[in-house]
Amino acid sequence: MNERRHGERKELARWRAAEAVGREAEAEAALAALFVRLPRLAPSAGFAARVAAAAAAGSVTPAAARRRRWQLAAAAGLALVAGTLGTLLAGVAGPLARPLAGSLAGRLSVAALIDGLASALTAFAAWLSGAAGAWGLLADVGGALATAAGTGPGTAAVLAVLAVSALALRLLSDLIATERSWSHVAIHG
Amino acid sequence: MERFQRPVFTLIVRMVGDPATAEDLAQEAFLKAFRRLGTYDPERRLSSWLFKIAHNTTLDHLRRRGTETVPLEAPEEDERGGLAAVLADDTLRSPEATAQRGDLAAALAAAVGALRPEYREIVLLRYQEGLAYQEIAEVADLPLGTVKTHLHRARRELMAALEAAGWGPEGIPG
Repeated sequence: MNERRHGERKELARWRAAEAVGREAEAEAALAALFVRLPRLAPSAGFAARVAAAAAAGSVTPAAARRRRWQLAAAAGLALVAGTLGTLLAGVAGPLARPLAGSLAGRLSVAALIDGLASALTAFAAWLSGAAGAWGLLADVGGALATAAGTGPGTAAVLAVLAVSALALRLLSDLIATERSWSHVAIHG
Repeated sequence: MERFQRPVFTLIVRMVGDPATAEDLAQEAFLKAFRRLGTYDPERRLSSWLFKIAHNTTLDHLRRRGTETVPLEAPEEDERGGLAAVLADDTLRSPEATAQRGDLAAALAAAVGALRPEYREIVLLRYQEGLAYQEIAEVADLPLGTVKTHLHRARRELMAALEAAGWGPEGIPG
């Protein structure tokens, strides 16, 4: 014990002397010799085995779990948008698809194909003329909304909705950026 | 992992001050390393690569927690929490207390704990883990000159802390 403490004091004195005259390398060597004496800390027993088991099981870290939640949310949002678009397209394509499929059922020839396309185009024209009426309705609704938005309370409501949307988008962007920024490993210098 | 678990854990625990948190962060760091093993460049030291991951993981945690400095010594007389409880001596309180018992190693550990986090990390990487200046610069994302300046200043602060605790040239206890 006395020998150890004597060694420590010697290194401390060497460090002090080297620092005083600017001998950096010697100062660092003396301090490093003192650091060797610091208590070495270790994780709890079984740490390595637990990490290995977690890696084998494909466990995710809390940060990775948060990233996956965001990815799932984004995927759900995309699926919702895709589903909505798909429904709209189905509504448009339905009038085309049914006659075409009916004409082609059981018949695969050029004549059948032309016949099917002609029927589909006829059905589409009929659907389009019906849909044109819907555009008129949408135009009336849009006009009413524009009139309402032109008023003071209407304008305030529109601005409030825009502000909330912008804030939500900013929060989402910040959350995603935080996930990426400090956990990213620059592999190559 | 057996070879690097202690150095990685030691670095993290001296940064965050709590052994349980350090163990969680160390596990997170090793899992990240395992998943990104395919991107490791064998031209570089594996230890540097692991320390880089541990550095990013720890900083991520500290920024989420909003903590700038984490004292290693227990702030209250009766508290046994924090890193002080992990060190070999449960009665460790401050560099002054360790000076009274003539334990320079414990005084140095307390002085390291009192450094600001950016100095503390660099000091540990250099003098505890033996990394070269360039490796430290890559791990800590700092210019080489900044690493050297930080080390120089950190040494001065450590010396001042030890002398203030009674480890000056005239007052070496024991």
